Amino acid sequence: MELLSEYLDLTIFGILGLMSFTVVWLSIERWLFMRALSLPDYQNFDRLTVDLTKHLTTISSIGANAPYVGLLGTVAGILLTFYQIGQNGNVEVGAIMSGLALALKATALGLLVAIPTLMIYNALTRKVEVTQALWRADRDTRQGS
Amino acid sequence: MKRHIIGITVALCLHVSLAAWLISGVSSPAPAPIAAAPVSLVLSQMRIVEQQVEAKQPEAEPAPEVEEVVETEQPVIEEPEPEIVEETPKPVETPPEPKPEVAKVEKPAEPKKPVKKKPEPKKVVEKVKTSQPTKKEEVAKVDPEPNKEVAENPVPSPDPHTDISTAPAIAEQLQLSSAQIVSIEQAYINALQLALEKNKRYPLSAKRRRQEGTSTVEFTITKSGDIAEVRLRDSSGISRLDEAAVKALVTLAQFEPIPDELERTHWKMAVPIRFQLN
Repeated sequence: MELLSEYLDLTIFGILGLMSFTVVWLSIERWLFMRALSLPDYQNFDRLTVDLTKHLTTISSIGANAPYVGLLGTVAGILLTFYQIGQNGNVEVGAIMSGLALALKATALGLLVAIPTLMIYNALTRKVEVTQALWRADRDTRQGS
Repeated sequence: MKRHIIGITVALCLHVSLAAWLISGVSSPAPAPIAAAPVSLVLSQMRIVEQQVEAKQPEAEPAPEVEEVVETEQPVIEEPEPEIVEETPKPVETPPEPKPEVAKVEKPAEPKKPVKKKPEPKKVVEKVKTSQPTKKEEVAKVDPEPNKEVAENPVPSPDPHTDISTAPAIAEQLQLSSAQIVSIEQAYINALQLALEKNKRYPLSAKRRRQEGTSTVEFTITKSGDIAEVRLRDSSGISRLDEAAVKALVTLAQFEPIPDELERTHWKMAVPIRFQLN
């Protein structure tokens, strides 16, 4: 229990920080890729799709799971707070409240990571669809001519 | 690959700077108010409860003094001398003189029974048992006297009254005027302590070394609320904490004016300032 309480915050914030780091990294990479993409290089639609959707699964997973990681941190923090209260025996309002408040910040951070991630993911998905549509349109005009 | 490198460096810069800002800025001042605030809150609640108790007493004060006088008499009638009680109704019929008197004695005594049980039934009963003989005599004396006076004046039995409950009696007499002042005083001191708790800063160096302690600081507060003559009275043993305690008062500098009810032009007080880590 002591080990858990000592490393809980560090672990949760470490995981969330890593998630956030990955999202920023991959979204910048995707943005640069989309900007530099030239459609005529691709002869095959599936190859284009594979290149376009690379890393999007990772961003999606992080966006979906960051709140749960934060929630796990909060639950563990509350659990520890109550455990310590039970051990000490004296119910001090300040100690309980500060324990719960500190536990809740894990959820806050999880949401803070998840919200921008999902927005970025949606934007990238839309960009992929648009690019695919443009590629198809180009192919149709080439075939037509 | 180039894209990945750019992405990693940007993300790294962003997160490292954010983490550095959080660790340096947010984490250090945040725990300080948490450190000792709960303690003072608990204390203030206790005080408020005491004040309420004190405040309630003066409301019933005009009555209690009379009641207590009767209290001393009444258990005597009940406990040690049930015979007298039995006798009284019987002789009431035969001799006309004691009849009205006894009846009146019983009347003021009976309706006040429920009231008496509330304030201090145990103490009175216990103490009455110890000093029974004296009171019997008093009761005997009381009977011939006019009853209303007995009920109203504590004069006929001042000695047993003071013997039995000296402290509460004196306290109540003082509280007649001072209970509210005391509560105002307490409220003022509580407010001051809360302000100090908010104003104090736990020295970072002491926090890092996990140093704790209580420094008592003496100061004078003027009618207008200015804080002057701040000096350390009892050291916590750690100079950094002492300095922080004095600094808390010096930076506070100005507090609410002393309430008019207290009738003080200045007020010299010593406040313990507690530095405690969670």
